[in-house]
Amino acid sequence: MSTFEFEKCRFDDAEISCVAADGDSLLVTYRDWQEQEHQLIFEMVAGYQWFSPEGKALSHGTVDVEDPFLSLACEMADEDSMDGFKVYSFISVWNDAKILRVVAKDVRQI
Amino acid sequence: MEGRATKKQALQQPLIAPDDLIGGPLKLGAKGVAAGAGAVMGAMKSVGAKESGVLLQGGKKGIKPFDKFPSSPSEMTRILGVEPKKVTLTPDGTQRVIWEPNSNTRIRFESHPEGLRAGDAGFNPRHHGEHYHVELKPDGVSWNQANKQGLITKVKPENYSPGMGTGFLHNEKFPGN
Repeated sequence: MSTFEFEKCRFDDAEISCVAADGDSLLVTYRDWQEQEHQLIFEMVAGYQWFSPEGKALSHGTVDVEDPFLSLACEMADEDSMDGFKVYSFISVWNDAKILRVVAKDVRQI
Repeated sequence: MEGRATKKQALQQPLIAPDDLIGGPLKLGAKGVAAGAGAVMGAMKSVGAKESGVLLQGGKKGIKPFDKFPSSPSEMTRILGVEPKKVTLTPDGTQRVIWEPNSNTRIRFESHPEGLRAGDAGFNPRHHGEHYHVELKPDGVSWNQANKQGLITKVKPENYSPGMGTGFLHNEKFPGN
């Protein structure tokens, strides 16, 4: 497991530029407020929920283990157990909506 | 294509004040991004606002031109003549205020100090300090579809270059003026 703390990642005035699924990982590319590009890779992904997040200004990220989406994703993906999975969410600055949610076991910056 | 909103149209449209406010919208002879950004100015002109206790009229006469971003969210509310759509806190615990003076314009006031203060190394007033963001879209298309079609104008400060932050500061002139 990485020691990267998703919830401490600064997303203010950042924008997701690309979301790409590859096997059991999900690559999220975003530009920070200074237009510097960064990439996050989510690993052991059970599922994700995408609401056209590209190009929309972000506020922050959250990590949740109580979100009902966690059990739904694990059930739909046919995981034996929810252990170790978390819901990582990107929050829109305009409406506080979770415009991208990823159910995965780990995330790190690359 | 007829009937399809374009970015150019978004930039040229006037901002419409709420019906119950005095004054009609000011049609701006806008061209290009700067003039489109001037639609923000149009919003200020097209709504009724009190300045020094005087109720101002929209239209070509009797307008007190609000040509600068105000020093506080409450003043912005007063100038726009519409209540904020949302008042929340940023992850830094600072105030975030969002207005939608019409369906094609949204304005956001916020700051992200990250523990820095003005004068500290690395402090950028357009991001860490209090600032405003302005987004515009064409009429007749949702924010989501406008985003997908690249029709949203994220208004940037004059002489903007990547890294400097896209926020507008207090007392900074509205773009397009």
